Amino acid sequence: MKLEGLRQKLIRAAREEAMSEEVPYAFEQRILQAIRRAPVRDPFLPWIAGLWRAAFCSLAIAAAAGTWHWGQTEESTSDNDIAAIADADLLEVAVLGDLPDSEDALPEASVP
Amino acid sequence: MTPARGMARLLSMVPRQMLVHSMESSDTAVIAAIRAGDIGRFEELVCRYQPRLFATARRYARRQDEVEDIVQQVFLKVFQNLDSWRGDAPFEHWIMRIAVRVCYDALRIHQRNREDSMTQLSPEESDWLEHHAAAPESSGIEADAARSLVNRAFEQLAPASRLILTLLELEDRPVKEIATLTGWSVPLVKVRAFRARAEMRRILSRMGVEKYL
Repeated sequence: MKLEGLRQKLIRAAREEAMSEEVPYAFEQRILQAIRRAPVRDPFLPWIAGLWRAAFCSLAIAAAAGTWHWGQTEESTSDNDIAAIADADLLEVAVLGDLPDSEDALPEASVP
Repeated sequence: MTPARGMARLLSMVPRQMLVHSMESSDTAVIAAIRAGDIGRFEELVCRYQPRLFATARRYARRQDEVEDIVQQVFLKVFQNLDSWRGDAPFEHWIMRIAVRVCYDALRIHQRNREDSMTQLSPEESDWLEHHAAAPESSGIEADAARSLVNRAFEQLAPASRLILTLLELEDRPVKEIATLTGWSVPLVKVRAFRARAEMRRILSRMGVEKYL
């Protein structure tokens, strides 16, 4: 608390100090020379910078989407394989279910 | 009565609001001329605002060459971004916003190159602290010693803390105005002010002022 009191007193003392508005001789000439020397700003510069930024963002999004899609395809392929095997089994049962086993189906060879 | 005195008397009779308004419109006219390609007219803007910008820059930099660099940087930015001034706010507010941001950048650069120097208190500073310990409520003698202490403490502050304490406590600006000048939100200004005060107390404590309390 005492430290805060001291801090406020210091700030009060510093606040009383008026900053000088003194300007160096011919400072405005120096500014005008600097302006004339400064390279002319391309009005398209902000657009170019923005487009570059957008391009990098798009690349990152494309890479992320590609990676995600590749992972999804891997997963679905393995799922599809299992489904295909299951379907093939079902088809076999459906088509061949009524048929007797080949060994049983063969009638005894009747020898005339 | 001489013509000059007559003119001065006439001007003193014009309400201040009207004078401010005519200055604003002349700012607008000068800017329109610069936009049209008359770069030489920029000198008028420089002459009009340089005293205020020098006073502002001196709050953030001590060395004269640093102060001049800050003001030059401000005017260059003003010139380069003159097309973005739409005229819905006074030009003075716009130029001060740029000045505060350039000063903040200068503080950050200065902090990167700064060497940590925590030197001993000078005899004048010690005397001031002893006087404060004896009579905490008195207004204090040797204000220069107090200012020197504040300057040394400010040198150690983080750039954001120094900026906020300068605007809020030394220049006595309202929080809302600081938010506009810095581009920070009002709650952020309040949080940073709270942290800045705590940081300054820590720095004063490190400087060894506590033994005088």
